[in-house]
Amino acid sequence: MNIGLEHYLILSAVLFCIGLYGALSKRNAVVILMCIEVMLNAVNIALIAFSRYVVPTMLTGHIFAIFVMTVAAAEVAVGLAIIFTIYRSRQTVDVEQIDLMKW
Amino acid sequence: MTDLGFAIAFWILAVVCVGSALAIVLLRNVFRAALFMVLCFVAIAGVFVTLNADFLAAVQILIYAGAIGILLIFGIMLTRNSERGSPSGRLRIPALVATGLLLVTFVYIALNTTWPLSSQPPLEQTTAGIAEALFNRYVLPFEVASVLLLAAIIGAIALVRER
Amino acid sequence: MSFWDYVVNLFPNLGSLIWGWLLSIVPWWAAYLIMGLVGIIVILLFVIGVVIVLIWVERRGVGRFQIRLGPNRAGPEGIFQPFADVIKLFLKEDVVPALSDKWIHWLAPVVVFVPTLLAFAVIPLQDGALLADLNIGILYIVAVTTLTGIGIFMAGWGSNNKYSLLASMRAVAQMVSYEVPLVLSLIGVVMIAGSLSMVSIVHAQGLPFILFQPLGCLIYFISATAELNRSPMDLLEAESEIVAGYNMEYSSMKWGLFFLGEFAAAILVSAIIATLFLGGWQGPWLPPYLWFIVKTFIVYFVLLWMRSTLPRLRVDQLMGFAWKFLFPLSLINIFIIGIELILWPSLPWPLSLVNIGLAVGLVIGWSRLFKLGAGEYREWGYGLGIAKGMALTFIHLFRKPITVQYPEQKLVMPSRLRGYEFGWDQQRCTACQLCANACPHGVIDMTIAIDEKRKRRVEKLEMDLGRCMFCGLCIEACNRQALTMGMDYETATYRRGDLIMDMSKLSRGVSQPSAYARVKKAAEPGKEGEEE
Repeated sequence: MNIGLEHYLILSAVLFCIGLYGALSKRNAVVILMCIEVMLNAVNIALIAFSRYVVPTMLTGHIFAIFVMTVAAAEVAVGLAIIFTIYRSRQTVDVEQIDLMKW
Repeated sequence: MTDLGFAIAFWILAVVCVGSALAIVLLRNVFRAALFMVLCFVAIAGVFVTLNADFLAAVQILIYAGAIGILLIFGIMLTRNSERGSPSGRLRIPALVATGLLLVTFVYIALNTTWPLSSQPPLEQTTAGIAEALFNRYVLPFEVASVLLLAAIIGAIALVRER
Repeated sequence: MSFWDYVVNLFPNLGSLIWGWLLSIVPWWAAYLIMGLVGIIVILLFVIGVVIVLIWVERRGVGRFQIRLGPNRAGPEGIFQPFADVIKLFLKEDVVPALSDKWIHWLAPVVVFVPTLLAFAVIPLQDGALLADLNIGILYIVAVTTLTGIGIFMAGWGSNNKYSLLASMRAVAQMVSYEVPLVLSLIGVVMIAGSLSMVSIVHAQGLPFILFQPLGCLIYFISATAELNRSPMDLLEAESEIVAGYNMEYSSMKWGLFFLGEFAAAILVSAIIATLFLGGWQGPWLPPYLWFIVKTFIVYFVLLWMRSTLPRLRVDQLMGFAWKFLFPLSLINIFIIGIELILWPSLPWPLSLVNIGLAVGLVIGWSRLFKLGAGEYREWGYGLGIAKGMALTFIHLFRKPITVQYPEQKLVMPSRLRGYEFGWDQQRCTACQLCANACPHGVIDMTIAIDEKRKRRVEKLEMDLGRCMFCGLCIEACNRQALTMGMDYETATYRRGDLIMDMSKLSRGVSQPSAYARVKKAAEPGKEGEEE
């Protein structure tokens, strides 16, 4: 069988939806961060697949994927810093208990 | 024959990717979920190799598995709560329904659009091409990304500094 | 082809022979897979073989640097010592902590060892003799070696032990901190060579790159030492610090796998330095792969030398060194080589002298500017202390070892030794019992008899050497020099009762009188000259 663009896109969609389900339904903040990373990786797969099948010589998708990786790394760092700060004052990372600002 | 090898590689890697992503979401032990996340990253690096993105595969392992994976495991170790688990929240069923619908939409779009495929073979060495594009055409986002990283570093340090 | 051509191209010829034979019996895709498997097995055997040789080299070499022999009993000159170690490790009991996570505990040594093996796929023994000439060679090696950090975390977590966890977190912090100068120091080499592929970098070395990038080589060497957790940065696996760290709970072959992984990584680092900085397989008249192995061993020798000389760094000194010293210097190195490549793209050889001078100046100047750690600093002697220490241990290599090979050679006891055995001269003894009274422990058990001529003689004399503390008070009490002490130290017995010396044993005398002996000076009859 010939692996075409659709295969990669469906793989990317499945990974994105699994990550999205995890980010919406998990209670541990670090696990939510992990699922967000899975979503970003799924997007990277889609970008590079498009770059390879639609414009193979321009590498635009690769550049975009590099920037996505950069932003993901920065976001993990800051996200973990926020989680540590919350853990320090409330001794928990359960997002259902961090609801001081909810109505 | 190369197509068959390609197909075998893609299917094995795809199964490992999806399986480990499901393991992240479904496992209760947070540390094992983190290890499956690292496996997912390595499998995605393999998917990049099948897409002829050699530079990005190495960078994926270097940044994601090597740095972000370690960072998240540090995060797990330093924020262990007593029940030591990753239970599911109240929004399980609505999330399942919403993501199911989204998945169906994505698959429908992917299968029913005629993508403008090109018949050119992909570049063999992407490193030189990426370098050329990054420093000629996309140099402004490159500089902005460095400012972003600086802001992230300063922000992270400022947040966790001891008063 | 002549015989010499055949020897020089040994590996490519073997490869094409096997490939041709395989193609004739199986279809193309099976031949490809089997060829890959053959390559993997060759790398595995190469790594294990070199590790076994290196265990011997390390133990004997570290011994010679410390003016002693290494292990030399297991086979001629100890060449079977590594096999003895491996057999011992296989036969030990495999202890798994009860409440640990079994899978993670089992997988951790694998995840620490396998990435090092993966990185060996791109190390070129010769022009055609590597498993895969990736065009992202160096980046692949750097990426794959960061995966060992995950394995270290798994080892610490799977031990279910607070101290292992702490030690593994410190180890990962050290690894991650030293990865940054490691990668940055390699960028200079990549800039000069214009390619990430290992084979192209070796081809681009007319002059070895260590001359153009001395600072880069030094920073890579130091960062790699820290990545390997070797001395002087082996805080995390030294036995006196957090009790051997993250591999504390591992026994038998799992610990052996950690150990093997560390040695394999040491070979990997030596091979990388030999390829990138020393010119790879290029050399005058030996076959190329022998040159490669020689250069790898030279770098490993320098690693060993550094291990035997330098004291261990503290963990805050470690981190400060990485972030405040190595990281800025590697950035400045990239800057310098960038400017040189723009102005003189063909890199004429005088630039190597400029680079060496700049490297020395930068190291001395930077360490003056940023005083890391407390203490007095001399005016300009940075690095002099390390150089003097390493010169001293190098001279130790050529000195005769001070080891006494015990059963064949006897120890020479110092001349002021009081002694461990006793001798009694019955002719000189007057049975005055002063020695028995002088002994603080009652070691001497003496029974005397007075015969009809009012002459005293000793009937029973027993000294319990098990209770004696060899203080020599009995020797000092006797004014007839009847008791002597000797320097023989092989006086152990199998039963405590045998330690009690009776008259016959004591009368045998001592073969080597000690300084407390008070014997007559030169056994001349009639002379009463004494030696105090």
